[in-house]
Amino acid sequence: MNLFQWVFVPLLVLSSALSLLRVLRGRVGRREGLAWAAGWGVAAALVADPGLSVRMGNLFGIGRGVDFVLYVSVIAGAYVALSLYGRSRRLEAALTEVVRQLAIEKACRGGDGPGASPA
Amino acid sequence: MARTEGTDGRPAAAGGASLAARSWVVVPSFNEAARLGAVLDGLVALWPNVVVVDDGSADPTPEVVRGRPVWLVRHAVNLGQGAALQTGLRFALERGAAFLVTFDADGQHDPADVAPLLAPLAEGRADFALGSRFLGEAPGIPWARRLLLRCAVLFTRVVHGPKLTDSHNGLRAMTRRGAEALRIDMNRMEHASQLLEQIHRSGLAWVEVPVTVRYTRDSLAKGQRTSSALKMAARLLLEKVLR
Repeated sequence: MNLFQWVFVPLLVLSSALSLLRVLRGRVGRREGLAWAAGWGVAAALVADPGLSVRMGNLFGIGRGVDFVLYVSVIAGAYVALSLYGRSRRLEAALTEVVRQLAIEKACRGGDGPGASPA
Repeated sequence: MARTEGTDGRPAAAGGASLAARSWVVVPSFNEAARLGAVLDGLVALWPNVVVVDDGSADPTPEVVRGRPVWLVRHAVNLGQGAALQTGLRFALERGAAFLVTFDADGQHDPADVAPLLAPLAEGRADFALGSRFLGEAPGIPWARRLLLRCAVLFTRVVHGPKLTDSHNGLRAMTRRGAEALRIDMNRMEHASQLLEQIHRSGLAWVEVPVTVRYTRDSLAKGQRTSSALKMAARLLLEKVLR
């Protein structure tokens, strides 16, 4: 093993273990926590055994292991970006509804109408 | 059907009932205090039910509105024109509006165009009347803005469907049924395209009506840039993919 592997394999295994611990302590949802643990675990395996990415790539007809990892990373990144976008849209909708309800509750009319009275 | 005036001098619908009494004009506004006063003075002369939705303005918009017989609904934070529009429509519907008009706060629109917009709705010919500067007039429009708007018309036809001559005009009218069919949840400028898509999908009848849109240096300075239009198009396409 080289220095990179000595440093990052333990770090990635630790990250995987911490993710599992958060699931057990209820600090994160089971599906989300297990996905993170699996992701860190796969990363640790790939760093520990670089030939693993080549073998996995060959299963899909991709010759170079690094290409396989790149393709999977791009797809995973796109999924995460779209998930975050969806979450931000839901938050925006919730915020909008709260602001709207408050605004309508406090509406008032000015000038020569029925006075500056609340709606 | 010829438009007549009611006993109050305001536009009347068929049968003599006051169209004005049953209509609400929604004016979304963001930092338009300098021009809003003149806009409201023009509207309240003919239309008694006007609501300004102040979208978190940092200028004296509330003071301008409070000095006039106009309703004021204030967003605590800036959400976007789409959100302000939906807030105004909901407010008017809750107060029994039979007809609703959306009107920009920047002085580009002419209050005299409101009655012609409502005419086809009052006659029962349509649920939506969409203003078109290209059927009417657009004095002072720069050629670049005209080109951008034409591209927007083409984009709308390809992506959303309706064949319009002006797809981004804030002056529009709708019946209560039409307004209830809308659910604008795109807060920023993309709402205009979303609104057209929802109109198209609702199956309700719509017409285009010639209107005047005036361009001034101030309104052009605050208007949408080409880069914003490209971002808007990208976001609309993304929403279409995700939904």
